[in-house]
Amino acid sequence: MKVEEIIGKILNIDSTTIKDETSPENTSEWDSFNGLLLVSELEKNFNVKFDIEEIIAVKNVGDIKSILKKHKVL
Amino acid sequence: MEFKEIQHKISNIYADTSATAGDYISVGKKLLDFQADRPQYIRKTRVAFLSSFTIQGLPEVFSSNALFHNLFVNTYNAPYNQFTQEILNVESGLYKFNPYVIYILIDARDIRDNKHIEDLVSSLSLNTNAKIVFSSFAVSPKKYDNTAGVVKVKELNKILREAVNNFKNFSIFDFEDFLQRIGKDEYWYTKFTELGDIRLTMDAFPALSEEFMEYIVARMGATKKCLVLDLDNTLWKGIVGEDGVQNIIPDVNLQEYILTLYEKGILLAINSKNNKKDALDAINNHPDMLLKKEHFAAYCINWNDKASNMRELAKELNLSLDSFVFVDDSAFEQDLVRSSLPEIAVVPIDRLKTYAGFASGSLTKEDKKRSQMYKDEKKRDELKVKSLDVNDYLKTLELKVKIKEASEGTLPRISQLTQKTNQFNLATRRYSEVNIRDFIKKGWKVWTLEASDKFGDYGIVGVVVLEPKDNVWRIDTLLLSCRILGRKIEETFFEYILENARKEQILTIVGEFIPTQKNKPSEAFLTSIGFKEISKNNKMFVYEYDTKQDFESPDFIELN
Repeated sequence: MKVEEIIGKILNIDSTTIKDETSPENTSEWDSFNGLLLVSELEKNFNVKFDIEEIIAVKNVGDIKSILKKHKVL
Repeated sequence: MEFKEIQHKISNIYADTSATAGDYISVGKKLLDFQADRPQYIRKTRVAFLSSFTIQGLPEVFSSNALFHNLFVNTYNAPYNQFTQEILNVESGLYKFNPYVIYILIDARDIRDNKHIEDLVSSLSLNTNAKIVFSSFAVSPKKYDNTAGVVKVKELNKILREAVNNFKNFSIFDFEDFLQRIGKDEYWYTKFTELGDIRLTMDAFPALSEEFMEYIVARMGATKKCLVLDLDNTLWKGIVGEDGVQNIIPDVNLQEYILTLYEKGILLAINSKNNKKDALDAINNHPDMLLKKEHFAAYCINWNDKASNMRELAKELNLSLDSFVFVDDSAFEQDLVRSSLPEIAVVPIDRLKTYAGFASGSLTKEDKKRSQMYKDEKKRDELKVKSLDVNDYLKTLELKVKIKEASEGTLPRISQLTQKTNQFNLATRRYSEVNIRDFIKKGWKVWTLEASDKFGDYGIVGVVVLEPKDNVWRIDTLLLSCRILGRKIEETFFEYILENARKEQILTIVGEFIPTQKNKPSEAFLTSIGFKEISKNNKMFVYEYDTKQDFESPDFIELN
């Protein structure tokens, strides 16, 4: 599954509306619980483990993608 | 989307061993929208979850999972870390919800002493007829553990077992054993514990949910009656019609499990595409076939489609379709039955042993061990005498609060609390440090509340912002961090506001409540302490309080 599809599934929003700028600030569905659920979901789907610093540093979808790239899974 | 499609999705998620908590939760959201379309055979029920740490997501996973068992479950998740209050208070949300089953997951770290366990068990036994599934205590990693580890946990579990022994509506769920089976290190105390007090990771929720499911299935009598089995590549490896009886390899392990179901009274049946003669020959004559012809109550061995065969079997056995479980190795046959007969549980071979749908009565391992006579009534009467109420419990906490005027040093914390607090927050107004400084300049009152109890100091956990206007004070903001809810600290906070208002000859205190998706826990606060509603529109409720009114604040909180 693509990153946007996973995020769309977890936040229950249309994945085609998700952009790099999509963030908890502009998306009410992205609360702290869904944020953590998203971490767990991305880790399983991409078979990676993020560390706490990486997770805390995420401000938007663009940040998620750069971390996945850093882990060489995107 | 139709209800049927949601059922189909959930059945697919159930069959997928790599399905995540997120898969269950996302389909669960849709389930709620379609609950009115639920067919008759799907029965409605209620279960509650109480925990001493964050288990958000578990009730949601459970609801989706329950649909696979033909149950539509409404869930109650008790407020964060308020399990003791919820259990001791007869008027709590838990008891108002009136659940059929209550699942309890408490970390040994959050148990004060042996008596704490006894108090919880005795209150539950007095206050509810629900089935209570009390998880035993698990050892937590050294880094977090303040309970002296393994020995202490063992003792707590012994106390728990002794306490529940007198009551037949209690079961103990062996949580340590569950953790060991799924791989404790990966699921219990991980990085998520630091991120959000999630001590059991969400990845564990689907497995835990299915184990918890047994109790509600048994309680609701939703137990399946008949297991329908395919033959080739299911009961044995190989295709008897092509390979011959000699060359098939019956699955002995699987048959042994099926025999235990048979002994429990589950009917067995066959639904197989085969020549009847070949199939019966294999069943009767292969030395590794433990299941014999007489074990099967009915069989459809023919070349018809398997959905038609299922209808045939239902007719022959005079059972409704929702009492059937179907096991077949073929993805095609699984999906055919799944889509045409959603009442039937299609269970993959490798999930059969953990499938909860055959649960009935007291059959869990723990329950079997407990063969004592039940002396409930007598015991309950004894307990009524010594049982604690919630105020007694709160008294033991030795709660202390300090209320102070905001200072330059506390501004960052005040602003942070207005930004982050969701549940107990009357107006949810988000302020920066600059905003707060401006309020103080204008003559508004901004106070902080610090709390501590015998377990430790919580720091600043409450904020009030008051706007004085002639002889009226308007409560612009009143919030408390979720860490200290359920202790009536808000009442002491108000008492302090009221005393100061009286000193300054204020006649009326005005309160505002602005509903959000998350602040339901503070919804009833103002009216509960005697505020009267004076106006409302779709955004805001406005209340006032006459400062001459008497106010009784909790006597177990020390105010400095």
